[in-house]
Amino acid sequence: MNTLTSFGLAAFMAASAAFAAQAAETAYSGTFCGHTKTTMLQANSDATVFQFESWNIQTPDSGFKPWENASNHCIAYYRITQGKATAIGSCLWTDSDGDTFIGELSQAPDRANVWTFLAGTGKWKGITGGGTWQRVAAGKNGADGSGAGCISHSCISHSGKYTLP
Amino acid sequence: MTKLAPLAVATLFGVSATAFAVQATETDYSGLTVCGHSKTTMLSSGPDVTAFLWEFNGIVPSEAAFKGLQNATARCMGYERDMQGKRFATSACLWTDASGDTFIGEDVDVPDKPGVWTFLSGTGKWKGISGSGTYAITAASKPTADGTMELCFSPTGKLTLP
Repeated sequence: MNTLTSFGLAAFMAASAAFAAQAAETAYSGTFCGHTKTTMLQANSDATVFQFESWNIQTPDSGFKPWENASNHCIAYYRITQGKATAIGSCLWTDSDGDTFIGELSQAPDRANVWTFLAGTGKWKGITGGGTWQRVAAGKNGADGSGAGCISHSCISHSGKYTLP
Repeated sequence: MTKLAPLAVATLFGVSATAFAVQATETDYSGLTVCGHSKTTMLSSGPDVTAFLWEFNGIVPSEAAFKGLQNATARCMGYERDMQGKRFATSACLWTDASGDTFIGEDVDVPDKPGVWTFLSGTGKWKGISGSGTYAITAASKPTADGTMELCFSPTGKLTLP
């Protein structure tokens, strides 16, 4: 009987631990918009390669309160060959309290674009998880005045899950 | 036997001729160093993650052992992320030779392995370029506070032209 009680207690504790782990997983979704500065290395039908830097803010109607007024700064390397795009980069997010988290974005042919949380500060310290993203709006490109690149405007929709310790 | 012989000869000759043709256009481009200026655009430089973009503009000295790229210039750009002492990087370089013909390739670095360079495409005498190689940083200045530095790197490998 004592053995059974101990077993029951252990099972309860395991279930509680599992519940606690699930409770820390949060689903997120929303849209962020801003402007992107592109620096072109080459643009032709064989290979188009550029890097970009973008600055964005979460849209007010995104509905995900932890990231209300959060902004991000992203950098990435981008290649298009044979009509297929490949990209790798990072975004550093800063929430309205000044806490930050960083993650990596990737794009490869024939699969969804992937986001992976890497690290965070403050309330985001220890963040893990990830999701997907896609561009949902794009403005017409314009010259940036430097002659070396162009500026564009876009919105990205993203969703996924993160876990905090 | 008599029927097989011509086929065998033709096959062997054909294969050998093809192999010879391929080998004849494969070129070892070792003996090449490019030196220039690098500029970093930092996204994050913290204890957990360092992530940045970088750009490089360099030139191959006129005395380079690989004559095909003497006085060539290279413009490179890429993304790098360092985390837990491990380096991940993806970049591309657009090379322009002394006569204005160009080729472009991509370099991918993952932890604990030499970087892998792959030719993507070219123009003029480099049209149809393929092949791969690696590279080593052979000289580097101390980085300045604004994220710039001077460096030299030496690519090695083989390229094939059609």
